[in-house]
Amino acid sequence: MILIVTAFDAEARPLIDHFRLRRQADHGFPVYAGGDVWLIVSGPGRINAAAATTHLHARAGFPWDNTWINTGIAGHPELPRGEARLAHKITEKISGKSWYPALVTGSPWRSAPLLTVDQPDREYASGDLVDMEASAFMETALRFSSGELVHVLKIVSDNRESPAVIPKASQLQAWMAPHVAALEDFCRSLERLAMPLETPAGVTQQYETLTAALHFTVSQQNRLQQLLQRWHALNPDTQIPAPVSGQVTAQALLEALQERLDASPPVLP
Amino acid sequence: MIPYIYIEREIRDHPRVQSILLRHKRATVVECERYGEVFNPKAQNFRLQKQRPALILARKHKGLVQEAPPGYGVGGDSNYYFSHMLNCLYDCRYCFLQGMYRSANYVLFVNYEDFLDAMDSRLMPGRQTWFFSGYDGDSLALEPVTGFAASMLPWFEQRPDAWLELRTKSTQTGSLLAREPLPNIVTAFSFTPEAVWKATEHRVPTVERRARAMQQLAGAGWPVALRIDPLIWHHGFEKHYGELFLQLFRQLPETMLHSVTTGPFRMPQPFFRNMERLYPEEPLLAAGLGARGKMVSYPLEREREMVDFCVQELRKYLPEEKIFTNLPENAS
Repeated sequence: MILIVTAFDAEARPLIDHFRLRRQADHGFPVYAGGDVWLIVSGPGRINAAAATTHLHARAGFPWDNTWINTGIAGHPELPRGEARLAHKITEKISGKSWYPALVTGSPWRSAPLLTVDQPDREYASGDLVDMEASAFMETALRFSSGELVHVLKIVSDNRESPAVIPKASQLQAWMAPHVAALEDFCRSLERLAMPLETPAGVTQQYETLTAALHFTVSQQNRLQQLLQRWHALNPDTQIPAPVSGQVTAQALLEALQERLDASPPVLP
Repeated sequence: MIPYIYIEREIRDHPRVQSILLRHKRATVVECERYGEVFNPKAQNFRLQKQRPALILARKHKGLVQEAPPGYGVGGDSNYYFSHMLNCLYDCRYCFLQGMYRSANYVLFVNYEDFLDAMDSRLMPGRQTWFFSGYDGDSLALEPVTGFAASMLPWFEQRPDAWLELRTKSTQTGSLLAREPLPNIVTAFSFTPEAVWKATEHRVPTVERRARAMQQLAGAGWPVALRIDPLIWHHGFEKHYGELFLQLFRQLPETMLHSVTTGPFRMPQPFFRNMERLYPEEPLLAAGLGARGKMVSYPLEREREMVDFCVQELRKYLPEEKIFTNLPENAS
């Protein structure tokens, strides 16, 4: 699943078109969805960004370890307008706190440090990219996903030569549009990276069957999950044998499964 | 290629940092205040980061040299360990580092001189003091980047009572071979049988290549040692370990070896649980291991069988005094 947070509708528009997203019937924030892609328009500033990120997480069904992207415009002292950069360090001006997104897959963009401010910065004193949302997005999205899957892509909209003014929607879309296809490629490569983190379908299926048939306490449920994973590691695509699954109590089943797992050494591939 | 290098601001101008940057001109440099900002955050996944680790250059401020765990040693009077690096170039599925750290990035502490000062304070005249390197990462695998071993050697040359073990799975022995051997530097090569290497020791040079590197080093007069550790229970255990010893001792006569140690797979429960979560599909972690006190290990009886088998086999090739078993219960 890909979850995208933008500040302005005009930033979102090229993404909505590219992913063929449809407006959802949400109150509070404009939310769009289509296939495995979700997008929310937060409005400007840190509080909006944090609230929208949380809203989107809930709206998408509380997904865990998925790809999160904050994209939109930012200022930079020198970079030309329309240039894109991934953030490799995000510093929040008011708190001084920094985040370091782990860039573990390749991307077509170079990376740069980014400063999140609460008021528009027309001095570009830090020398970094400057925006108003990224730190809050990071702090919030990192509650829901691993740092390797949470990224910020900013497109330069203003610099010392062309200082910040509120850009026209058409101009904003023109800056964003050339990067949308590459953004999808980047997100898909992150999704592929995260695939091993998903619980194998066989484990989930068997877990559901067994917990429906017998009463397991919470700690027994955890142990069952763990033992089923071990079983599948040793016996891929094989159901646990009937003498084990046919036990009449949860405790007896767990013990029988543990005994099977400990009985013979692993055969190394 | 290292894509990103994070540097603590206070060591930005350290000569060792400058030298590393000169050799990695294509890496993107990111400044941080303390390495923990990058290395320690909770929302990180070791397995994902291992795909493309970054290098973090830092200064170690305290705990530079630590006492070795009880029962660990090769006959010295005092035993210490230290880590100039956190994490490893290799990706061994049984390695506790993946359970201990959230990040797979390599941390290099560049203040080698402070490590040497800390070691100096542990030395006592006339007592053989061992310093074990390679607890939190391979001692030599990143030597071309770190120059760590090369910079340690002159200090040990002046202190014959101080002994250094460089623990490695690499074949990066160039910095040693480039100079005259020292009797108090022991390069200890870790091995598991070929079947275990193939299944679990990703990116590690072959058994054959490491044995050749070891032979070359010993041939140049450097003390070398074998570390058969951790012992991994698997189908064919006795056959595979027997074959490993035969292969190694065919290439490495006993006279070339300083010592051989062996020890079973053991690790603290929280580390093991993290590893299971990272690699749920890994057969090695799925069978035969269980909680024993605060640790996860094979059952005591199986552990003893494994160690006893290996010791019996090793006795065919080595005198008793060169064989050590690293078991906490050996500590007196």
